[in-house]
Amino acid sequence: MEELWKEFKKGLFLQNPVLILMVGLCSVLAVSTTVENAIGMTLGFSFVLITSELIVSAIRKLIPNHLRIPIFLVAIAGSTTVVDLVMKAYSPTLSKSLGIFIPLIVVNCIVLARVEAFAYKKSILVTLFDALGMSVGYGIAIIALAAVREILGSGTFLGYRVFPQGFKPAGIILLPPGAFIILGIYIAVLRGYIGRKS
Amino acid sequence: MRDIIKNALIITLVAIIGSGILGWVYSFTSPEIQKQKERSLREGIKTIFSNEETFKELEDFRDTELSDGIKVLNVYKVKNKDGSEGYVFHALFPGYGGKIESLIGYEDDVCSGIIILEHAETPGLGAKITTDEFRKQFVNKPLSDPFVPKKDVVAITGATVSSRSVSSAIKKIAEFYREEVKGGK
Amino acid sequence: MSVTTLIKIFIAAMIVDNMVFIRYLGMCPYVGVTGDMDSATGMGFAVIFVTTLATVVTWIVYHYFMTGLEFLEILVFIFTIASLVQLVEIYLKKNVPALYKSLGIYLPLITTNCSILAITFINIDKSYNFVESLLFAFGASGGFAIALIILAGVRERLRFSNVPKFLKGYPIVFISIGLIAVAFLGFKGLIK
Repeated sequence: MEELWKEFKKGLFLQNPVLILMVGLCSVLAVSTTVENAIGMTLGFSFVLITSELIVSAIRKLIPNHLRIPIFLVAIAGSTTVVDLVMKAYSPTLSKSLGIFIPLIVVNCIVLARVEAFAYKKSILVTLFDALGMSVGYGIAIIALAAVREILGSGTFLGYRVFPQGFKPAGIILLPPGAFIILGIYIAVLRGYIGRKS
Repeated sequence: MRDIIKNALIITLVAIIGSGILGWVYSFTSPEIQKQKERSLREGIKTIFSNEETFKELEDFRDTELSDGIKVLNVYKVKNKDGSEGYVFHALFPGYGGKIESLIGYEDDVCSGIIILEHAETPGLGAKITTDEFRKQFVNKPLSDPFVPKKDVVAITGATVSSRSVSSAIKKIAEFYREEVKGGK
Repeated sequence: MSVTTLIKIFIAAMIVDNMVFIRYLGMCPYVGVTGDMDSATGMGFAVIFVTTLATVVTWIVYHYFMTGLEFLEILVFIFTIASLVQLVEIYLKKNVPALYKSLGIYLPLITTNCSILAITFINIDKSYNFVESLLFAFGASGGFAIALIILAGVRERLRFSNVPKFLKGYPIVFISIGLIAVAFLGFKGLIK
């Protein structure tokens, strides 16, 4: 159990996929304009990551090595399509806000990397904890970024006004420059924190 | 050669299984997706014509291209509960940051209102075209008005292009509406 | 489909809606490959080539073989791109080994370059016809290449400047990207 917990924890900070491994950045930058979108994106992403890792781990003994990439792709593309269809059917506003970034989960580097490096080689239980850890780590990064951008950029949090009426938010935070710069600062902060701990 | 065939077969089998599962998911999500589209259309029309009873699409006018990059996607004829009739135009026209998709209502000789469905305007500036404050000036606005920002239309500060895109689209589509209404539809 | 529309699509794809600075696409390889000018230019060309090829194939497949099967778009497109990259890799290895060597690991990396897949999706989304799709693909991937080269130039200079310690490495890279993005924002409104 101790081992499993360790697998889970590493995805949160030490090997945070977004801030330390620096993968899967496109969606994080694009979708973090509101916390609501960030949460929706995290759910979609987590579903794809967990499902793909579980499927591949479950049938890993059956996958011939030289055919593994195409088979990974079927699993990942399949789960992504499921998320896309289900979201369009039951949450169309969210689907519209997240736009092209839901189908793009299929090429989110995190998913393919974890499936290849982990799910293909480890048992289902260990893989599950890895997937969960990475998902939560992703969620932490994107929601933290969205929180700053929504509060400073629109003056709201989850749609609720946070600042008094007179506050004029800086629109540029919601635009690409804001995303890039704040992400850069987050990376600096997290790396500094890890550096000091070690 | 044998190897290539074997590999190809395995991949094809996996792809077929995958597609099969997706097909199954699609079979129960696709009717929902259709319903969602109808629901948002009905909600949009009801916001413009609060007295709406029924509406139907005038399919002859589907996908009509007007000048200035304005495209009429669908035209709906609306019957209100009090017997009056109106028209709602589902249109796509160029804005400042991209295309703006909207529903514009017309009744007799006035604009009944506009709803912005999708846009790519600047957040905090042009994006204000979705606010009630901007849109309400178009409700019951006579079509004979010039529809020019800073003249008869109150523009959004710092977003003149967005404001102009919306106003001129309403005016241009109104011309199409009048010609089509006169055509006896 | 006038010439002006075509030019508009091309310029919009390359500059006004730049893949990196406006659409946030292709970030993973972007940050990885812009360490030096040579890798950046190599990757740039590779991306333009693969994107144009992928657009041709996916457009034809979608419009002629996929009616009624639209829900398979994600699956089919990623498969197509992955296969194309494999084929290009095999071809280069055999026929142009020098280029193959210099691209190194970047070639397989192109498969996960979200900008390529995104471009193929956008072509369908915007219902572009074949010529429009090609122009969009060419412009967009060209814009990506330009972005690569700009940042590589900046990063090469950064190596010799006094960056505060806690910003050294990726943080300052992202801040630089953000600043360049401000410049690209200025292009909005260039195309009506």
